[in-house]
Amino acid sequence: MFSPEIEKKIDNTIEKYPHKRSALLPLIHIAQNEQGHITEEAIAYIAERLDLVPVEVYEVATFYSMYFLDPIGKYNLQVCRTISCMLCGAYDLIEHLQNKLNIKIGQVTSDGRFRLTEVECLGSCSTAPAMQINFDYHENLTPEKVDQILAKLP
Amino acid sequence: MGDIVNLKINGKDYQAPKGKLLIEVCLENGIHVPNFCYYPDLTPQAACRMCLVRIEKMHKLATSCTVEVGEGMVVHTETEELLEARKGMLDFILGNHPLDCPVCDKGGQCELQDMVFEHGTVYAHYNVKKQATPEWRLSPFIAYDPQRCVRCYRCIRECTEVMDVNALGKIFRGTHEVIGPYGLGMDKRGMDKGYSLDCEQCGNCVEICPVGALLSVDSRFRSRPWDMKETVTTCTHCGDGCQINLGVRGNDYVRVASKDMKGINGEFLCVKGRYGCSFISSQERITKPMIRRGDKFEEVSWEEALRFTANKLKEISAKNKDSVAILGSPRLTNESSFTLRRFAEKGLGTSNFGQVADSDWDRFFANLTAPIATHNQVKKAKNILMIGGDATENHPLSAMVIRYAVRKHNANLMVVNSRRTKIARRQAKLFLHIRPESEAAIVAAIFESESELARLADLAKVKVEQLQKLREKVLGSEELTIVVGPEVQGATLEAVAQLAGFLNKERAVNYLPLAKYNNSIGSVDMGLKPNGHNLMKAFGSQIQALYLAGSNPVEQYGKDWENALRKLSFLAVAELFMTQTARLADVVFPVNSFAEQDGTFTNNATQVQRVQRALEGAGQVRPDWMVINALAREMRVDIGAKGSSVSIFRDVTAELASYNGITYERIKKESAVQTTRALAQTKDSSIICKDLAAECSKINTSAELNKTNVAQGEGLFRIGTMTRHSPVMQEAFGESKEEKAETVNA
Repeated sequence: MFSPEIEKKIDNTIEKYPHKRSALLPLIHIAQNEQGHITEEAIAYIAERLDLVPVEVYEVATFYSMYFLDPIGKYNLQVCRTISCMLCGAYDLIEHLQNKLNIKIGQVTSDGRFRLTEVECLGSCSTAPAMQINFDYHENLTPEKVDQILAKLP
Repeated sequence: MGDIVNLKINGKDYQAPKGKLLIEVCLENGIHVPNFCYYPDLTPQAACRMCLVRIEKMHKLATSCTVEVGEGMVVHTETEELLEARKGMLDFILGNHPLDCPVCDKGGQCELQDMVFEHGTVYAHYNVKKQATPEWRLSPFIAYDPQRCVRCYRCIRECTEVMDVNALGKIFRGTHEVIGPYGLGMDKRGMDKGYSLDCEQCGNCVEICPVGALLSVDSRFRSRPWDMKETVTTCTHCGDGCQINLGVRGNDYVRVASKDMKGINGEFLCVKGRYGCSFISSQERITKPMIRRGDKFEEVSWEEALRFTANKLKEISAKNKDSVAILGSPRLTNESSFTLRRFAEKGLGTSNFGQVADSDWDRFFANLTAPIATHNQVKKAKNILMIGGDATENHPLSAMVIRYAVRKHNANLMVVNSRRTKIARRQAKLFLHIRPESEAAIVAAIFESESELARLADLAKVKVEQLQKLREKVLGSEELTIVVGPEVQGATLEAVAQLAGFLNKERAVNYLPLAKYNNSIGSVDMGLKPNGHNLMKAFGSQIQALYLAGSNPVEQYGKDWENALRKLSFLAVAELFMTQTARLADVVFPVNSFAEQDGTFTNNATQVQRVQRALEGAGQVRPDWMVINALAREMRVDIGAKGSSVSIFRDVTAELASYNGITYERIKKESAVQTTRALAQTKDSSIICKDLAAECSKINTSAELNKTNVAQGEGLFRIGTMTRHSPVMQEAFGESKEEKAETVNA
């Protein structure tokens, strides 16, 4: 169900482990990065590759917060809300983003462009408040700065 | 036996095998250790943290369900520190528990209630708002209340390990975690829309749930555990003969349970055993004798029905004794089958008696050359040869013990089957997928010389290497358990029974026949040969009158039977329901179901088990044997009638050598008593080969392999004469209303 290149990556990942099922976490990541979120087809595929049953893959996929079972939009805005960021204005940022995008935390904009979430510590306390968009960090944020960042996104 | 280690628990010295789990050592020695997630035979989980103990020299409290005992271990199980720790754990568990005990089906039988009672005041530290979750139905049989769940995961492990179904998982995490099927929560599936648990619906997860989280839909809100009368009896649905605990409130069926049972099946039951017994309280049961007047049945008194039948039988029998036939069924108790045979032999003097069944178990036992294995012995089997049969669907306990042997000690399971059964696909080490009805070729391959293999492999359409491997394994096994399915019949079945004698030489071989019905084997033992189909051909000619007990051949075998029965000048039927067969009768007797009478069944491991009266039958129902006794009295013939099941059984044990020494008292004490079979002489293998060659010549060599996988529930979910009247079975798997109307009108 994936391109030959990704299939190869999956083969290599499975080979790394003495037990097939140990490759479960990386395989879900690969599938998610490929498709944006974890689809039912991907769950069935991973289960088959690792000699598991779908519910075993599903258990793991629902356990971790960085696995997404629903489409998460093009840009996943993850605002840190742990102590340092909170003290430096994370809540204002969240408030600003909710108003600007007209969505609540956990929701996706109707055009599917943005999803807003709050996350625990991003390990960027020295540059608080911080936000991660997909895999990129943005630091020392203010509402104005957030507006500029979003405007520049392709 | 491995090494023995010495350890000290609470200041006393104990010895235990090295590597055994500490909690098991404690419990076996009567030392109480509270627990939820530990369960015998399931893999350790260490989720509930209730079994914490202090082991000296270990820096933290340890979960005794995961610690293996070692030499010199010093353990404390009852200190202040532990009490505090366990109370802390209970606090977590109760943190989100709804405490709705007054409306909980489990109330009074709940391990959480017991645990809180045992530990006294719990702190209730958490005064945050509880997270209320609505309960939902996982399937027509099973409901789930997530808030009551203690997250012990017994259900998931039972489903995965014991059942090999993998239907349940732990979905989401933390306080949001729920037990559910794949896809739960995905598009909100299963939460409120329809059912989603795709499994065998065995309900074993419900049985081992320590609290009221998993519940049986059919008994919900029907009775509190202490408010019903429970009777241990034997299931009526298949040849395995599981022990069930039948709960009755007033005179109505409530539920079947198996918790803490010690019979052949332990706590294991299947969907039919657990949810298919409610037919006993169906409103559609016939409760009064009926005589046909034209197109209609008229309810009459027992006296009238008996007099009418006696006169008819006497009249027809007067011309020719053999013109009256008696047919029993593999469902009746031993006592009733025995009485039926006595009535035929002594009362009517007819040679035309037997039962309606399509099996050859009489021929199997006549050729048996090794003992029969009990289900517990199969659990320990090292090599299993399974010829035919689909145990998962039709003999769920047999399937469970075979799975157990493979799971616990990697038994070498060899399966020969024309269908891709679940056991063949999932547990078999070697699977010979044969052409339909070509079992004879495989059996012949073991008896014949090696030079014949290629030809026989071709007949059965299997690879010669596979057949070679099977032959080597069978001939080379020191220990072998042979499981033989109901489709193996005739000379092939005789050859299978002779196989142990052929293998010979100091080997431990035993058999498990997969007889279809609850008393297939007992009824044959009682002298009712499975010859119904032969007798049927003489209906209307040599045979003019028939007394048919407990069988519904018109539904089971169709038009041929219906036409034959119509040719009879007199038909009497003893039944629970107005079946398609009963509708053709001249007189219908209402009889007791298995739950309303005392007696015995003999299961497929030839163990005799008790059937006990759990409730009174409605109306004027009587046990089959009592109807026969009354009929004999009315006909003024002496059949040595006995007035109770226990005295009939005494006659059985006096007459049949294999039942010698078995009494109701002994069965009560031992739960199941195996009969002792005289073994047959081993025949010369050339005779067997000749018989098998004749069978092989019947194989249709143009038949293709059956490629479809046996669907889950194919045999389990089938609706029949009895399960049709079980509301929850009907709801889940029943015919649609139109179909049902059609059967009624037919």
